[in-house]
Amino acid sequence: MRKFIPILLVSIIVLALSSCFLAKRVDTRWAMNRNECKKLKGEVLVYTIFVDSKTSKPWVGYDIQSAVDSVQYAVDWIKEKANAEGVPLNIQFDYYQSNKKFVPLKKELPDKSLYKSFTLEVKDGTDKINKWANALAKKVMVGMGSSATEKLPPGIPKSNLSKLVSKLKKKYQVDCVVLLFMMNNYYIQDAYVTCNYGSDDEIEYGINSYKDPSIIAQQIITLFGASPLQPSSLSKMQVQYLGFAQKEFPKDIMVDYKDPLSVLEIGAYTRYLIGWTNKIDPEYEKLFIMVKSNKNHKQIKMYK
Amino acid sequence: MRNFYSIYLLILLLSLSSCATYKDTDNRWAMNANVCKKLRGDVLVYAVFVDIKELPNWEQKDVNRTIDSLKIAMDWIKEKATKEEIPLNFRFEYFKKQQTIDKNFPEKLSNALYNINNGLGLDKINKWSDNVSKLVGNMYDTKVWTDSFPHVTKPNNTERLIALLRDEYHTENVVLFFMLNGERSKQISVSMNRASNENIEYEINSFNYASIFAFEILNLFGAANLYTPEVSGKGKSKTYAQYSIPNDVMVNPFSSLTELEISGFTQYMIGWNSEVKDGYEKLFRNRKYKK
Repeated sequence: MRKFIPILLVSIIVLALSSCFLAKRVDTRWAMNRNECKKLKGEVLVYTIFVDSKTSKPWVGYDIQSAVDSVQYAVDWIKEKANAEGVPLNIQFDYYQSNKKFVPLKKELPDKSLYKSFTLEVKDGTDKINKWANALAKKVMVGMGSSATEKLPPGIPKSNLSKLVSKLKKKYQVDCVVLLFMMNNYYIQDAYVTCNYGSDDEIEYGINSYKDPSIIAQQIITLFGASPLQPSSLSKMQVQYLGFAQKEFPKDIMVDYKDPLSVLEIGAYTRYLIGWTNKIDPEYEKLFIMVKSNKNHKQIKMYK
Repeated sequence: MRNFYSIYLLILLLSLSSCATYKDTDNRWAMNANVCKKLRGDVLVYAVFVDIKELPNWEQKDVNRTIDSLKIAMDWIKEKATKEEIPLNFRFEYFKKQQTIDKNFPEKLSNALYNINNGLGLDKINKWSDNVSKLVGNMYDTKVWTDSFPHVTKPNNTERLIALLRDEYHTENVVLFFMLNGERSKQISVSMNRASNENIEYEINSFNYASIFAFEILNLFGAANLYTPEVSGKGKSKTYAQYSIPNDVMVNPFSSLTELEISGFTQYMIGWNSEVKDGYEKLFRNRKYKK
């Protein structure tokens, strides 16, 4: 018996470790109150920065106006859904202009496309993208007539992104700022990414190379803690029971990004994650289980 | 008879060239690819008439006849869209400042099709289209804008020309036709870069049949090319498409439009409906029909 106990203990530890490795049980709500975009309530600003690069097409009037329309449509859709749930939410939307003149900011991506930039060696890719976003944030602040030396309260990352967000909060009198960098790929398929939304080290933001309102709405909601319910090779982790989610919430914005917003909804699970409800049906708790993403599947987080 | 075989050979190559572009016939994914996405809303069809050495120069009557055929094709598609309750509004324009652009084709038409089939000639033809677009761009009277947005001024390639047209006509979808004045024995109809994620899509066409124009427009918007030339008609088994949707314009583009339709399958491919009806899955690969 005395010999059996150590073997049993070792077995339990090995089993526990292996299960941690295979499937990590995480309450994805942990991301909801982290970083800049916390609960999707109160006063929120969606601030868009249009970026030109050699790997995307230059922004021209029609593309800008239709992209602005798409963001506005996505914002209105989220507000309408919040209203229907009795959630107090006001979202302002604005985009960067210099002296009331529209100027896309020029900055080359770290690689040939957004997808390639983000899928460089994971850590390196994120660092490079953050460096890219910080350089743009600095340009925005300079364009707004602000120095990049603004002091920040303790506990907030000392980056240009933080400083920009802090400045925007003061200017627009909001609780949260959603930063969206938009690139013009009107005929090229690339990717859309949400950066740092579980991080304490850097401000979260989205980069989008599409102007589809469904994708923009999904991206905004993701920043507020919603969990993607579709496979993605751009994420390190994904929900294990995606099939269950797709069956239970076929028209949830986090499941379906191909249909128009008019037929999509924010399902009970997503409403819980973005802080619109405090309770969740125990049946859906299995959706908290995250596993490592399958990097081999072909359906990457691209719009098709 | 020799003319007939030349036409047949070109058509055969045309269908082969499509195969070279897509490894799988299930190309609904192409619907939202490139510049021609779902066939709905506002669509600009823009034509540039080009003279090349191998074909006769354009004369006014040829231009008029081609424009008429193209308009018939657009009206036909619009009528079908209305019937399916799909909002669709075509606008047609062509480059008028100089009736034709003189730019010789980089190689013989038959070689070009052969090379497209082998993936060899794409760069040459894209360069040719860029040069034609640059010539158009140099002469194009761009709109005077009063807003503070950036705009395209002198497009120097096909992508910039399409960007300018999207901007000026305020539309997402632009079908750009480079029209050649075909003759009986030498014809070309090719959708360039339809599946590309690098180069912009456009059409090179020398036919002036309304049904071919309808075929080409639908093809750019994601419809699968289901045309299979028959050598003799006898002893040749039909493809599944020829059996199940014989009057679809994508199966039979050489018939009169009055006899043709846009089948449920093609409607699915161009985004007019969201479900493939039972049995249509077989059309993704369009193999020979077996009872």
